[in-house]
Amino acid sequence: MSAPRSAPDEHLPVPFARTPRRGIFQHAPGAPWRSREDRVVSGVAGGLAEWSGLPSMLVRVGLTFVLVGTGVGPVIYVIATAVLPVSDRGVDAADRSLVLPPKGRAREQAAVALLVAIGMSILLRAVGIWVGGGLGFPAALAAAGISLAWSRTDRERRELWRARLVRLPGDQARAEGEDSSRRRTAVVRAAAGGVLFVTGAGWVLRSAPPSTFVPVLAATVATAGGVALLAGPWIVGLWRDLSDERRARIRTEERAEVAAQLHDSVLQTLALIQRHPETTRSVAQLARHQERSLRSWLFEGNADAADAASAAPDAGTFADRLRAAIHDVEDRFDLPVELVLVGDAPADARADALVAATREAAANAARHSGSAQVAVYAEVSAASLSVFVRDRGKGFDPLLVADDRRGLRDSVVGRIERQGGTATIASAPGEGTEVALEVPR
Amino acid sequence: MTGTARTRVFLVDDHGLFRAGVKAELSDESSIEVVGEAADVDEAIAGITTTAPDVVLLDVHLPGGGGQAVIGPAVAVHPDAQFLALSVSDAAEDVIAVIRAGARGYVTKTIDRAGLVDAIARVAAGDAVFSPRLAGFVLDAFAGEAPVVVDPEFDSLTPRERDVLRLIARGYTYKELARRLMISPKTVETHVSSVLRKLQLSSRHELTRWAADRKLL
Repeated sequence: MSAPRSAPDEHLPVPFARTPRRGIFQHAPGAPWRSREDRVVSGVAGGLAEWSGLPSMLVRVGLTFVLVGTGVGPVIYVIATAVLPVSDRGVDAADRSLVLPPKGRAREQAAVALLVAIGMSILLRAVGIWVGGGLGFPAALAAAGISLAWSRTDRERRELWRARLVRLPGDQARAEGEDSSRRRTAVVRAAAGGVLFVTGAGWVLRSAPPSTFVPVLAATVATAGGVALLAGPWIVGLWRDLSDERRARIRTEERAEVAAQLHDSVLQTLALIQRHPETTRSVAQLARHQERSLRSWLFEGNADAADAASAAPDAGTFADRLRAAIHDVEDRFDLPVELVLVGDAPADARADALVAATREAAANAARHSGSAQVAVYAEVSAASLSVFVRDRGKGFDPLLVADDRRGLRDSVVGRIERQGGTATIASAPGEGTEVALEVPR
Repeated sequence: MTGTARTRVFLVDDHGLFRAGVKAELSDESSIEVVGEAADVDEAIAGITTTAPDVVLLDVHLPGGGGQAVIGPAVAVHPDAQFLALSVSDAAEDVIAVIRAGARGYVTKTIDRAGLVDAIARVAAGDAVFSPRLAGFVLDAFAGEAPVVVDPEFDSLTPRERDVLRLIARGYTYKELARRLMISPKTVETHVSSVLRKLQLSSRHELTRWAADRKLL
């Protein structure tokens, strides 16, 4: 839908001019990526699924199993988040370069992350999760993972993390323009958290061989409390930032899609109309085609649905095929056909016969009736599919001119009757014609 | 409405071109007088308050809250005004919102002059105006059985009402369908008005769900 089309961009008003895009994937074809759209946490699983072609649920289950089953899983996930690039779909290079973190700050935050990682490792060891191996190895691993995560995270995310970390944690309330009591609470919370954390960590270190049970437990509780107080607001804030970022990204994509659609279709059509205003018929056809495509994009969420259905009549449901057939008649005879559809059904042989018969009946009305408009009403009920094709044209006496209307007889009535359905034609001179078609389901 | 008075019409549409077109079309009509126009919700409420029209032609898509945002406040100051919704869009949830807010009918902007004049007269007389699309929409929304019938009076259509709606959807005028069903045009009006009331008062949750799902008349 957003395939590039040759267009006079320079003549377009700014909102519709499309910003230059990167290629779909900038990375080496072999490397996996993180998904922008399909993600729960950071899109690692979704990206792997897109990359490998496996169902994302399968990848997700497998990945979760590996992550939970092995102790270092979360670290691996963080590293994957850091080293795998985000797929570029829908984001402009310009948008990305808007957020550049100051370099010194980034290093500073890496140090903070390192300290946190070491503390976490000590805590984990005290609780007994890190069995085997010295303290240094897991701490180094976690620290390395988190620093790597920091250094390799894509810019926009790093900027968000940085912004959040810098006001960690007491500044947060001020930054959000809260009142002073909230700020005091935050400062007190930060101080208490720090004291608790330091005390707890020291305690754990001193009673490293867990000869007594109570100190270790107390140390763990104290440390956990400290970490919760210190990191709680940060984690909540980070989470909020990430969902903000996700919302902003969705909005950007939607705006890009609207602009692309308006540009690709509406403006192109208007340009064509300006170039050939003298041929009224083709102008009407263009306008109708455009209206249809815009309508289906706006209300069915798919601009190409109508086109695709006319190009490939084998696709879609009964309603899709009927719509495509009616559009075809409109185009061929340059006559508006008002289509009202109630319900839908899967397309099968009977439905197809009904669509073909409807097409003939509508074409017939367009060709012979002289009516300025044709109305087609289709209804799907539990037992049958029915279609009514009505015109307000000159009409005819079915008894007198039956032989004239072989087209109607063979291609409409015959088709329907072969499917076990009924076709009736009601007409009188001067009163228009109504063809009623019904096939069982 | 007395038989001789001209129907006073107020136009609400954010497209000046469309208002001008409708005004030009209606200016030839001796039975209709365009008394004012507005381009957004606030302007519309103010204009309806001062001009007290019989019929308001109301665009479904209006800046400032959509057509439905006009109806409540306007009716509060001028309870006799009738509303006829017009749109090009056909988004079911928008149309149903305007109808449920109190519009007496819905026609598409492609309607011809005679059709529009007729619709205005009908709405002015307190009748309901159903375009084929609206009829198809109502049939679709009321299809099947209501699983939880909260109020049986409003939550389903009678077989006769379905017949009437089907014929409207097939492109029959009220007069034609009265002849076809061998009932009087007045009876047709009664059926259509009753369907409109059900559309406005039904608590069928399908109505909203359907509108959200289908997004198309």
